[in-house]
Amino acid sequence: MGQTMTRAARIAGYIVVLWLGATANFLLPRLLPGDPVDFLIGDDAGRLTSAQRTAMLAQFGMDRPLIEQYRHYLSSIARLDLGTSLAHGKPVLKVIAARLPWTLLLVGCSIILAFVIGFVLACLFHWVERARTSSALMCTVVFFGSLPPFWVGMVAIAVFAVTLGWLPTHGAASLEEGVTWGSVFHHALLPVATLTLGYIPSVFLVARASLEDALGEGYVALARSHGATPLRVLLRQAAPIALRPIVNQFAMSFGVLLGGTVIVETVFAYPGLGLLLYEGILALDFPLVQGVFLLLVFSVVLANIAADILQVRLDPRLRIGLDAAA
Amino acid sequence: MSEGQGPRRVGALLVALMVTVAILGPLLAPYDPRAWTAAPFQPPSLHHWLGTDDMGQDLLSVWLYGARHSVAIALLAAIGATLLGTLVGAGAGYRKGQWDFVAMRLVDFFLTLPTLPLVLVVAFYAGASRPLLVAVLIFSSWARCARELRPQAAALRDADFVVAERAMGATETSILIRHIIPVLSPMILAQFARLAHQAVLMESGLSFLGLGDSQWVSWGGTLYYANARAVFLGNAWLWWALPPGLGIGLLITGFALLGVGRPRGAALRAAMIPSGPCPDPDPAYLFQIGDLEVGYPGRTILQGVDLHLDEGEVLGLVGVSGAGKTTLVQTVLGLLPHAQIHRGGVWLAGSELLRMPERDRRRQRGKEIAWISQAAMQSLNPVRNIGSQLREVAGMDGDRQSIEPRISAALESVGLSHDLKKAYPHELSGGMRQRVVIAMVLCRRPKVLLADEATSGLDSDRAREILDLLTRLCRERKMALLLISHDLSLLERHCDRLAILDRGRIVESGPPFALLAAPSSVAGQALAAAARPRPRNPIHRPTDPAIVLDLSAVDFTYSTGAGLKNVSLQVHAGESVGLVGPSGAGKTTVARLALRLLRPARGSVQLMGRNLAALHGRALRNHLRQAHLIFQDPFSALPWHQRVKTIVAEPLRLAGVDRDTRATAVISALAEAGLTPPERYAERNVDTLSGGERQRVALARALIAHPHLIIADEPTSMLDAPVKWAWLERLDALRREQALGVLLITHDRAQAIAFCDRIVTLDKGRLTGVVARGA
Repeated sequence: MGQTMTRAARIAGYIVVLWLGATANFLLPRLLPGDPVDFLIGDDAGRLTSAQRTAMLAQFGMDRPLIEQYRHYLSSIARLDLGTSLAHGKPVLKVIAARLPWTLLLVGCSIILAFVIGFVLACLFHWVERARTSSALMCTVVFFGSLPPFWVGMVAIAVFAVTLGWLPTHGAASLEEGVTWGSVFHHALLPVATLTLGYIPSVFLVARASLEDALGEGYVALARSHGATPLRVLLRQAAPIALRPIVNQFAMSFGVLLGGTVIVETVFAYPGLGLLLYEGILALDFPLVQGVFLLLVFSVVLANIAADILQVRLDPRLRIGLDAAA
Repeated sequence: MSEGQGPRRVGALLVALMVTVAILGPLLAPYDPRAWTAAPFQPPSLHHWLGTDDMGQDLLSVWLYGARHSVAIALLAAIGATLLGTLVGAGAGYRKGQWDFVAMRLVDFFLTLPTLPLVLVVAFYAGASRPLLVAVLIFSSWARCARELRPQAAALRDADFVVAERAMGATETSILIRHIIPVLSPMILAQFARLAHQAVLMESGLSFLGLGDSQWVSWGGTLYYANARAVFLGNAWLWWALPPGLGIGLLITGFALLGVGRPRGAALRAAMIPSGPCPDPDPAYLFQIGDLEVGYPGRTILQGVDLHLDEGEVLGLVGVSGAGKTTLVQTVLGLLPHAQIHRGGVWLAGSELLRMPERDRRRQRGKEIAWISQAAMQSLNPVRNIGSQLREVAGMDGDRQSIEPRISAALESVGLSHDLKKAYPHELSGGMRQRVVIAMVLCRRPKVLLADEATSGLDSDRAREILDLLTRLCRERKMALLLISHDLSLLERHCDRLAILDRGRIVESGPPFALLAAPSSVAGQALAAAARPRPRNPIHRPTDPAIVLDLSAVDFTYSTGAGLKNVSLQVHAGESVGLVGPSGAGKTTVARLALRLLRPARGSVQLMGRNLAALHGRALRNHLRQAHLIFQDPFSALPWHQRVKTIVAEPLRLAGVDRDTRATAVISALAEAGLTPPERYAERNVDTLSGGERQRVALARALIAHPHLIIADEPTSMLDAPVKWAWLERLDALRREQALGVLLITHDRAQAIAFCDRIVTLDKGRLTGVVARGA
């Protein structure tokens, strides 16, 4: 549907989605069972006196009518004021800003790696002569990619960090060396590998299917009739067509991809957003949780915008507004 | 066909295995998973196959109960999310309009929700009870299912076979249940598999973070405790942490492989080497095919084909579809990986091609033997510009220096400007794309050119131009040219010799004019008869002047501005009216108005004397069955997931006729439509039928409910000439017998003149003339 919509309508659609996301973020703590104070204080809430309760509510502005709270909430988002983290005692935005680069590093590297590896494997799937070999390749790729990332992380730590001692078990940089290229690389290796492994099958499967579609098309037969080798057919004819569905897939599953970082960062104690979120949840730091949430929604929308732009670059038919996806 | 099915089967097997384990878990488990059964941290032993954990619980029992939890969550969440996603996606796509827009913005929003963090937050604050967990998983994952099903459903809404259902008076609900859902079902299954896979991952992740439902033994939970006890520091992880991890991995693998689409098998494989003997070539010819027999297991396509070509010679090869023309060309090129070559050979300048190693054959393609494919218009890569595609071909021989001048020369010789190098295929017309494909051939100097229906899809003037161009080029460059077509009249002027291919054999050959004047074979006679101008059928003056269809002063406008203006048209009982006009004239709009698939903006449409605007609901649907619409494309107008008898019986089923009566009626309708023996055809799957047979099935479906009016919208434009005339004869005979009113919509004037009593011409939405034939 995206292709036929005008650009203005698309932008309007994204703004609506962002607004819905912010609203959901606002409503979530208020919709969950119990009083907001229960939510804030957790199990100890029962021991509060009613005066303490009212004071708490007032502190977070929760004693005012819902609509007023909502207005206040939206206007502070517009001012980029996400409140103050309870656990860190600093503005949420600052806390997030300190952690964001690490997650970007992990996710960025993993997506690029998974994209390249998954695509190469998909090409290999079509390139091998025997159906048995390609089936075995598919089963293997899917199996290794289906191993749960936290488990892969644990095994990787046990093997490479503990037993062999080649790589660090946790963190993003060593205390002695500080943030140097070598140290960052060293620490990112296992988390990136774990994340990448989990992303590969989805790239592989989408690439395999879209390469297969492309290989059935007239231009492939034409190229072969001109003497193109199978490799050339794959890379020059089928691959340019297959890129678009993969980009689409990334955009659609970006929310799930980001979610995966919570697990991996927790296993490796990697100081990114995922771990921050997990800590925030455990520490009942609800302004922080809300802030991270909002950022995640925002980045998914951003990824979709980037994918839209990229798709138009990848398929000239979209440039004049033709619905080529049909 | 079993090729490439492997992964799906592995997936199904893994899922079945895990589900069995889950169901039988309590029976298989030697201990209660929560019971203290032995000393903690025991390595595997006879009593405890997987050892014990820190609480002395038996790890095998824990594993088996964990499988139960994961499988239950996966199935419940996936079923719920698939149902919700299908409902919203298919519903929105099918309904379109505002509903669609609102539903899809909602889907967009749900797609931006970071699923795992959301589940985490809810699980932490609200407690991860199993029902809540399933609800949250459904809530956060259905959107993608909806997003992926929507375009498919939207495409089906306007598919010919769905429109045909509507024209027969089916309700939308019945269409959804009987057609849309069955056609979407493979995609729905794939979505289900993906959702189950995601649910397993989420649940185990949650349990691993210690936020799962601690009431249940789970794999993720086992790993959480294992991790908390630093099990990875010793050897215990081998039996404590490995099995749950593998369990999760295998379950996810099972679902992921189950969701893989049905693979079509390798397209890039080399052709098979002939198994049988090779005759001796005649050295006199540049190019020769000798005694070629090719087939697939169980059926032979080519049975001993002999052909030869000289330098600069043009040979026309004619045959109806299914005669084996394309198989012949593909075998010569070596592009049919699955075909078995039983015997025979192909020689170019004395060397045999079929027995050459693939490497050498590949070098010959394009350089020595070139090919212009059927539907060459769709043979350009849509995402690469013309220049890049030409450059690739021109550079195949390794000569990088002269590429640009050669491309420019090639474009020039097909009458195109070099400015086109920067253009993309979609920016060119069909005829121009055809020329680009020819230019690709001309970038090099092949000795033989095989043109397989190279002009299909072009109108007759363009087709002639392309054939003139090809024959001229081939004489200039001393290329041997094999022109292949189903249409004899197209080739007669351009060939030096003609050969007729029928069911895999060359049945006759000779100079075109002699062959056309006195064909000796049956196939040749049929092709020659179809190529000659058609004698007119006698005019049939209806004795019964009843008007079956009456459009008076109808206006209709599409959102694009096109439409009909003040169109009046009548069809009498037993009369055949031709509606003739170029494409875009509004002919199909007339057909759709007549069956109330569209509503006129002004004017009235009367069917059998009743104004359609005054009818609603069931009364309208019943009334519409007095008319029947036959579509242009026999491949899209029949639901490919049903059998012939089901398809033909559809109008009776909708009319509420019982099953036995339907079965008898199907047989007689198939016989009337000329499908013999009807009993055999009734049982066949529609995808095993040729285009001509399918169009006869469509005719049988039209006849079965004894309508008073048949509207046939370009019914023969996709059929070969001999098949086309036979079909129209059949319709005409039935019209006379049953006093049917026929509205024949066509762009082919000659066809209308031969078969219609009256011809109405339409152009740009306005009537331009009414000709009563013979008057």
